[in-house]
This record gives sequence, structure tokens and C-alpha cells, in this order.
Amino acid sequence: MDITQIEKIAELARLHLTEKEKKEIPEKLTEILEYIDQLKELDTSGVPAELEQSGNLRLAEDIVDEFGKIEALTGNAPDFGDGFFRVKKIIE
Amino acid sequence: MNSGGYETVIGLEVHVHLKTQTKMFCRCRNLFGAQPNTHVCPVCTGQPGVLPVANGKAIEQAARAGLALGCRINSESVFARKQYFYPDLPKNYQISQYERPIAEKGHIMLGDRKINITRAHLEEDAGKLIHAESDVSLVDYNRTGTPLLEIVSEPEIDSPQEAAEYLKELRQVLRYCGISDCDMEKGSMRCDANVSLRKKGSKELGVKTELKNMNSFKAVEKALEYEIKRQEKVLGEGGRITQETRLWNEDKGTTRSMRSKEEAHDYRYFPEPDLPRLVIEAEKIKSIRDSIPELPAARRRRYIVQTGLSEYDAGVLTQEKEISDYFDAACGMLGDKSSENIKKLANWITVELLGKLNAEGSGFREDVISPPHMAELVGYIGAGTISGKMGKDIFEIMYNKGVSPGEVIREKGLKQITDGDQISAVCREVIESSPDIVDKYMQGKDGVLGVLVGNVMKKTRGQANPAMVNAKLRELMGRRQ
Amino acid sequence: MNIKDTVSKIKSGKQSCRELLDEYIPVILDGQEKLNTYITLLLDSAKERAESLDARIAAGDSSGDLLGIPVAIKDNMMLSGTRTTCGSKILENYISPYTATAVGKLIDAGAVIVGKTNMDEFAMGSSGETSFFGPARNPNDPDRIPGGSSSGSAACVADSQVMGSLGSDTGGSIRQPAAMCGVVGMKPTYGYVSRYGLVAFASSLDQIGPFASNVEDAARIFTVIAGFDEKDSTSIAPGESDFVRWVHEKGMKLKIGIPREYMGGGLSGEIHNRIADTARRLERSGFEIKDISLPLTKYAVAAYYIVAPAEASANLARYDGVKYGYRTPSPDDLLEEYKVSRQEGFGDEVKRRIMIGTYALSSGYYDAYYLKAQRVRRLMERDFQEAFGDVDIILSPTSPTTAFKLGEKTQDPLQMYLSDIYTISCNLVGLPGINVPVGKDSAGLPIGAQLIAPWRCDGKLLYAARQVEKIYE
Repeated sequence: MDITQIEKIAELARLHLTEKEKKEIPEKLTEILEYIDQLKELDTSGVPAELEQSGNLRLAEDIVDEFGKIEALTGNAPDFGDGFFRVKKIIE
Repeated sequence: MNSGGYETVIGLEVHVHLKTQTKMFCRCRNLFGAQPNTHVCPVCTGQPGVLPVANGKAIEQAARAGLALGCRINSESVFARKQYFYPDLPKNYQISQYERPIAEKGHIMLGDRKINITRAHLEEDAGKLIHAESDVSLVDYNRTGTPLLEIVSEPEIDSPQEAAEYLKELRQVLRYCGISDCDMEKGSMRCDANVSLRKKGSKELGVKTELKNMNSFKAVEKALEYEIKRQEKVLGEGGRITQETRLWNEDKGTTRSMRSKEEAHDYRYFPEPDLPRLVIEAEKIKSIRDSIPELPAARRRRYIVQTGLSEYDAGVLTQEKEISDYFDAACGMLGDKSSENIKKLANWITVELLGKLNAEGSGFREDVISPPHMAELVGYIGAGTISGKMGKDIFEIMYNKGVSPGEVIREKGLKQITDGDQISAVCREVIESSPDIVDKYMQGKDGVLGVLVGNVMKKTRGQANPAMVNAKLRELMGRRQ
Repeated sequence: MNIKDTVSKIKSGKQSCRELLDEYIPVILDGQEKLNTYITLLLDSAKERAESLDARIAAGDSSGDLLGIPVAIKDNMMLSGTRTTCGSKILENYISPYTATAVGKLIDAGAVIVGKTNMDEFAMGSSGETSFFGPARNPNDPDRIPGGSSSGSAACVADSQVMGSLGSDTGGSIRQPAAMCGVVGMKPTYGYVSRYGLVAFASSLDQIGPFASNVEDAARIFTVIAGFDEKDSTSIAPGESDFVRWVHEKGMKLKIGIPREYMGGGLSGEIHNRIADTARRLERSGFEIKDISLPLTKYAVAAYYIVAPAEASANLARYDGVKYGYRTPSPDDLLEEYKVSRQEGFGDEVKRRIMIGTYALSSGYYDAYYLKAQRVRRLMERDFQEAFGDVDIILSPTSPTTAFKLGEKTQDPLQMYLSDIYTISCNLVGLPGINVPVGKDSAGLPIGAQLIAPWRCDGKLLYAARQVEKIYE
């Protein structure tokens, strides 16, 4: 993994990387990815990608059950006012 | 549409809000237009530790939509996480469907043109962003997590007009099935359009642009028209089209590139580990299929072929399911179901009733004049009991007071003559004075009886009881035989 | 005294809940100082709670299988009104707006929650050292790690600060620290305990389970927290409501398999010998011991380090400083607000895993990594199904080493990952597993034996655990 790839991944993950991290991360990640690569030895063709024991989706009834304690949600917001969560202006 | 040697290729991605009581993955109310951040809970605001629980009704609605659009419903489908960061998306991933959507391979017929539908999949909606004057944007999570169905067409639409027709037809089908209000202005239907041009006869698709932010069918049409001209110009000057998202500006009537969305998307889809696969049993699919009403296209065909209505009338009557149901109900109550009478009924509904409701700016309502009253009114007119002119006066009173035409007739002193002797006398007069018609009747042409009835009604200024007149005429002519 | 006897004492009026709690408070305070076991202590609310339970008992209602029992919960579980940090700066001031289902069940059973325990940040770690709030320490030797990620939950039970605790296990995060601290720690069948209110690390692997000082207490707590929950779509009904009875079961024959892949290279000699000794003693007690093979074992860590980071990268996307959590003070724009808040809010290990996971799911790599790993899980499931066709229970070491020194492995993530090599398979396949202490090594550090049962055989697992426990009593 080179630094361009690292930067692309960091951008996708919305992680700012410090200069120190830019130096350290590629090496550590490469080591881990090399270890992970041993999976390639296994032939998995035709093998389902889920466990046999995984069940089926249960469906909920369409009946309203409001939470009610809105302040418990808004109280954790770094910036909340006039009924809205606020963020830096989005420019489209 | 083709000009300048180019053909237009349009594909539409339509999002519709499903009609449910609650959201897709939590039981907050699915409601439009409430105070900001009042219908929210830990789940739809993406608090740590929460888990989604799928709304059975939303899934049923999605399957119903799929079936109404002629899709195959996948007995097993999978929810997936679509990942991108945006403040209106609390988890920064949207639960959607990717590899195995709930419905695939349907179509919409526009007359004889078939527009194929690639797929329809369920997902949760994002919240609403308000870009305030200052340097902040405001986030409202009420809409977050409300159920959406995305319906993707094949790139087979060949003009902006056809795109609008497709949308209208789609809207009609979904409204008929009670799946969605499909109100573009309220945002319960949204449409993104992919458009590209290619040299006439070429099989390869050109580079497309994606148009967003159209808030009406008209806007979709106009945005596409603008974009096609823009692409023609670029290509005509030897330029290249950039694959990009462009925002329609309704005021300026132009599209502009959304640079902030230029960054290559990598949604990193993977199956949602919090939701096992969705299995829909064949029996369930059958029961949903059975719940689908006769669709607008079928009704139009029935009205034209069986009832002899014009294409135009059939179109007007089927624009809303409620109107068509009203027509069908009234039709069933007509005593005389001659094609002429049915056409009269169609006219009274499309011209008088709809005209009046439209003038009042109200949507269709069947409570102002009930189907039996409407049928009764058309019956009187058809039978000649009252003239068309009188009918309009009576209609006016019925509309305002909710009374039956019979009552109006009585009140207005248009009382019917039900005295047998009196009717008998007039009938005799009419028979005496119309020997030719009587001859025809005697030769077996039952249809002419109506003329004699009409003459009796004229002589009695529409007041004779038509049923009695009918019977009496038959009786008298029978005697003469 | 175990939970049952303590509850009886309270029910009979010989001791009040408050009196019991007061016995524990000095131990808790002392332990907190020495071992940094808790991120948040809840002693005031615990006192109130104990008193209100006493009032309830006085009014004639003494129901609850955990009546008055002091317990702790890992700080990745929601308890309405309390701070839930998940060991991270990014949630340093986050107040739970709701209560996790498992925690609610503890409360309903009469438990008194004394604190929220220290843990590796977002449960990512095997030593407790990635906690933003500093590492918890091992009561057996405070210079050593207690294991992780449920470091505080294991340590507080080992230190007798509480009678039981809840942890979460994504790749061994209950069993491994239980082994290193010398307590019982159980990871139930995936789905038996609701995950609602457990801050997600890797959704398809996470499972809440109990720590206790003995198998019976663990079974009792497990009985309380297990059960179907409509708020968790992956929840399954256990089909039985009393797991304690399995602990008292007698005479049930078991064929116990020892996978040779779990006894090979990398395993400390002392642990190897102790597990072999455990097997011999079990044989003497009348159980059949069989050498078996789980050939895919060597791929478990690799599969895990794709699936867990991939799911985590999505689960942790929500920490962006918009709705809650840390937000960098003065970002230039929205993108900056996201990126810097996350850079400053997350620790190194968490960021590393987010990077791996994002990479494994990114365009062009999904098939080779995530999809491949998911298929390997299915193959591993077959491996276990085959093994369980032949034996009832699997016995193995829980960890390749006993508790290591603080700082020993922090610079070598891969070595740290490999310390979970024996516990990870259970999570990948959804199986129940448990750590039972089997004495100490020559340095006086606890050694743990792991038992693994077939899917949904948690009762049998507890029965087997009790048989192992008996040997070392």
C-alpha cells in the first residue's frame, strides 16, 4: 500500500492523517494486509457468503411507537439550536 | 427525439415515499411537514448501539409496487449498506438494497411503447438540510429513515416528453395501488434523469450526465430539453461530455455542474449485517398480487373497447383511481346501460362534476354527488324524463344540497305523471300520430320504442313516469297487433 | 458466597441491599485506584438503587434473581442517563439516551450497577491498552494487562469488586481477559443476548456475555440477560429459560475434542501442559477425550481482520461530530469538520482498523477481501459442524500466553491480533464459548481453558464448564 492509496482510503473514511500517521500507517497496514492475504490460498468458489445458521428477516408491525425523549438526543449535539442540528455550511 | 443526427437516451431513477404509518427501520411516525426533529428516536438519528427493525408494511408496499409494474419479486432479497458521509445521513451509511433488490425486470407501457424497468429497491430516506443565510447548515432528521422505493428504468426513453409520460404513468400506477402519493412538489416523488446522446443508429451509449433537483413533471421535461440542447452543442462543436451530476435551476431554466459531488463515489456496499436476508413466501406474493386493483391501463382499455368511450374520456376517467371507481359504480347503477347512456354518464362526470371540483380547486370527491344519484340523474336524461338543460339545473342543486335528482324533480314541481289513464291517453295520441314508427316496432325493431317514449315525454314536458310510459306503449301496440 | 446464596440472604432479610453494597464500595474504590477498572463509577446511583430495592423488599416484593447483587457493565452498553464512552475520546461526554436491552434485563432482575468498566477503545484491542482513559490493570499483577477488550469487566470480577459483570466479545474480548484475570467469562451463541444498546464494533460478531467468579454465577447472569428481543433483528430465542440447571446436571457423558491446531506452535509450554492435564483429569472423571482437527484455524485471524474492520468502518462512520460526540473546535469547512474531528477523536488502533476496513470494502477489493472472508466463515462453519459430528464439546487453551506486561505488544499490532487466535473462530461461526480458570502458571498468572459448544448448545457448554471447574476446586 503506497501513500496515494492510503490517502484515498483516508479520504473515503473521512480521516485526516497527520504527517506522522502518513509515515507510519502504510508500513503497519501493509504488514497486516500481507498476513490477511493468506486467505487467497483457500478455494472458496461456490461457497455461500453467509453462515448456514443465519436466519430470515423478521418484520415489525407498522404501528407508531414514538421515542418521546427528544432532549436526550439533542442534548448530546455539539451544536443544536432552534430545533436543528447545525453543521458548517454545505456548499453544493 | 432526434435532431442534428443525434438520438437521445434517457434513463430515470425515481424515488417514491411509501405510504406507511412508521419509518422503515424504527417506529417513529412517517410524517410530512412536522416541526423539525420531533419525530426522531435513537434509531433514526443513528445513536451508538441502535439496530434497525424492518417495517413489514413498507416491504409489502414495495412488493405491491413491483408486482403492479410487472416485476419479478425476488423470494430472497438482501439489504446493504451504502456508505457516504453527509450530514443528513446520521449513520453515514444508508440502508438500501444492492445486489438482490426486492423487485426486478418490470415495465411500463406507454401506448404501444414498452419502457423496461431494471429494478425497484427499498431504502431509507435521508434527512432534510436547510442552507441558512449564515455560515451554518441546519439538519432535520424527521424524514430520516422514512421508507423509499427507488425505481430504475432502462435507458430506453427517447425524449423529454416520453420521460414525462413515463412519470405520469408510473405515478398513476403507484397511486392506484395506494403505494405512494407521488407528489413531486411535496417530495414524495423525486426523479433523477440520466441523459446522453449518441449518433443516430449507433448502439453504443454516449457519456451521460445525471440531472437532479426537478420538482415537477414539467421541470423534468424542461431540464431534459435544456440538457439535450446543451449536449448537442458541446458535441456539435467537437467537444466531449463530462460524466457529472448537474443541478436543474428552475428560475434560470438551466442546469449547472455540481462540483462538490465531482469526487468519485465509492459507496462500499456490503450486506447489512444487522438485517438477515428478506424472504418473501410465494403465498405472500400471491396475496399481495390479489390486492392490486385493476390498473389504469386496463381500465382505459376496458372503457374504450367494452364501453365505447373515446380515448380522451377514458384517459380523464382513469387519471385517478377514485374517479374511475366512481364511474364504475355509477355505471353499474344505470338502469339503461346503452352505450349512449354510458357516454352521457362519462360526460356528466368529466365535464360537470370534475369541472366543478376543479373550479373549486378541490381534488376529486365522490361525496358531493353519490354514484347512485349520478346514475339516477343520467337515467332521467337518457329516458327523456328531463331535458339536458333541466339536468344541469338539477345537478347544481344536487351538488349544493347533496339531494337526489328525484327529490329535486319533486320539489321543483316537475312531478312525474303516474296516473295510468293520463299516461295511456298520451301514449295513444303518440301511437296514432306515428304510424311509421309503430310499423318499425311491429317489425321487431325494439330500438324505436325509445322514440315513442321520447315523444310521450315531450308531450308531458318530461313529467310522465318513463317506466310506465314504456310499459303502456308496449301494451298498447301489443293490443293493436 | 455465590449469587444465589447472597440473594437468599437478602430475600430472607439477613442483609439489606444497601449493606451488601456498602461492603463492596471500599473494594471498588480501592480497585479503581489501583487498577483503573472503571471509566465511570455510578456509586451514588447505586446507593439510591440499593435503597429503593430495600424499600421494595420491605413492601413485600423481593423478586429478582439478581436482587441487590452489585454488578458492573462494560462502557459500551447504554444505560439511560449515564455516560457511555466506549473507551474513546470521541464519546467522552456522550450521555446514553436509552438503555440497552441486556442492561435493562439486569436491572429488572434486581441487580445494582456500580459502574461502567474500562475497555479498549470501541472494543478494539486485546489488552485494554487502547482505552482513551488509560489501561485497566490485572489484579494478579498490576504491571500486566488484564486482557481485552473487556479489560475492566474482567478485572473488577477478579478483584472481587462486584459479583458479576457484562462484557462484549467480538473476537475473544470476554474469554481472553477472563483467562488473563482468572475468572469465568462466557460468549453466548450469536443472537442469544440482544445487541440493542451495545455500541457496535463488528455487528455480525459482537455478542454480550457475563463474567463471574464461578460457572454457576455466570450461568445465572446469562439466564437473566438471554432472550429474544424484537429490537434486534439478529436475535434468536434461546428456547429455554433456565441455564443454571445445566450447572447442576450430573452424569451426562461428553465426548470432548481437542483440536490439534489449537495446541501447536505459538502456544506457551505451560499452558499447553495445563490443558493436556485438564484433558487427562476429565478423562479420569469418565469423559472421553478425542484428538480432532479444525484445519481452517490458521485462517481465522485473517478472516477476522477483514470482516471485523470492514463492519467497524461502517459502524464507526456515524462518529462525525454532527449529532453527538467530539467535534474539532474550529474547522474551515464541513469536510474538515469531519476529518479532523475523527482524526482527533479516534485513537491509533481504531483508525488503523477503519483504514483496513475501508480498504477491504473499497471498489475493486470487495470480492478479494470481504466476500472472500465471508465465504471462509462458511467453510469454517462446516469445519465445526464436522467436528461436532464427532464430539460434543471442544476444549482448548483460551489464549496462547498468560497476561503480558503493559506496553509489551502495543507497537506490534499483528502480534496483538494473534493473541486472539483461539477465540476468534467462535465469533466467526457464531458459536458459544467460555473461559474457565484452570490454575496458575509458575509466575502466578492465571491460565484459562476454553470450551466451545455447537451452535445453540449454551446449556451443554455450561455443563462442561462446570466439569472443568470442579477439577480445580
